Amino acid sequence: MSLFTVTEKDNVTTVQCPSALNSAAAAEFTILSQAWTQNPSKLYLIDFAGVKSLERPVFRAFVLFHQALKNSGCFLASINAAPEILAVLQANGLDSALSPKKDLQEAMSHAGIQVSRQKIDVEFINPFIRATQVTLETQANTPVKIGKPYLKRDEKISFDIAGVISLTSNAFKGSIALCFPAKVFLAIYSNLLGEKHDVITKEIEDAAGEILNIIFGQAKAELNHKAGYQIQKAIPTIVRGTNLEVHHLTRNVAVILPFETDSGVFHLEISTEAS
Amino acid sequence: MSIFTDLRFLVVDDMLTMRKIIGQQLKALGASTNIVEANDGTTAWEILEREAASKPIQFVISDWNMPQMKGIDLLKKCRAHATYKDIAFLMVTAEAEANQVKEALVAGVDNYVVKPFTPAAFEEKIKSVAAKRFPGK
Repeated sequence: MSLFTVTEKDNVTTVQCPSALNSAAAAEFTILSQAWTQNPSKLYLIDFAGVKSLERPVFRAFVLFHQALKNSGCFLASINAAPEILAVLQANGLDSALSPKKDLQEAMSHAGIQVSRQKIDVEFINPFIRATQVTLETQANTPVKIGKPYLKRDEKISFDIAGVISLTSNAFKGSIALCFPAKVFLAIYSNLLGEKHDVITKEIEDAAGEILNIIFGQAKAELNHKAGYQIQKAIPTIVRGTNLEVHHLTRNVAVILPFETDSGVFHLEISTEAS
Repeated sequence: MSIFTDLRFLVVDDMLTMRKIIGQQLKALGASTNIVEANDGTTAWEILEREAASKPIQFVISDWNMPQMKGIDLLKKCRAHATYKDIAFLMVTAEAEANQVKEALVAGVDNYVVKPFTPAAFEEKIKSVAAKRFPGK
């Protein structure tokens, strides 16, 4: 049974070390590393989690491997070294060969590998669905039912007013539009403030932006907290007209989330792409 | 007559809709017409300064994320100024992340309401600020 646990994904080979990096581990690492250099990954990541001791024979194995990778234009880095292990690496001049990093993302960035977050998916969309329902029901006393989300292809989805907000994070950019037909917007506005209006005026139009702002704040908090997206704050803008359409300036197809209310359907459009 | 009847409020939000919602809720709680509005922190500060001598603002209710001066910067500016360092300050914001709540608390906010909110949640928070800043009322 091997002392090291090796996994490969996205051009990164992660090497989980045994707790004792002794001469037996050094011998095995040398054999493994010779095989790796035949068809190397872009990055080799030595994971020191759980390593308790580090002996001299391993130093040479790491240095030789680093040299071989360097000649192939590949990278060696390390993560999860305990302070005492890090001290041993530094005392023996191995920190430049093993290039300790904070985490996988930093190591990938060091190797020039594009760090890609997951694409639009259920885990990304669900916080927006929950936030829309909670916002409309709590702030505007308007029950909403989510319809079946779908990808926007060639169909025309027109509306009369929308709040639009940019979506920026360390890994992607995009935009979100909350789009209402006039009838639905006026009904929601009436529920929100108890004021009846027959047409959308400048005085009431910013409700589309405020509702989107609240939805965005809720979803952003959940995504940043649970998934570490680091989505930035943003301020919404309003567009108003007749039979408008949204064209997102991203390469990906927008996801449409339709919501049903007693007065009709409105929708949230989300479009993202890797930045 | 409620604790809020004689207080002078400044409601700061770049969205008219939210200023109206807060204004309605203040009036429902007994606030009189002593409600002034600003659509960003810079305008809010000008109003604080302008009104200080004649009809001083006693209670600021501010959004966080606005163009020009943000709510958090308005809060810090108030707390750093001799005249406004003890002004009642309630943050009403869509920014729900724990680090932002912490930042506001460190900056000296009296309480924090996350949007969306019910009238009951708003009432609870505003009463807690009033009890802290105006204990004799």
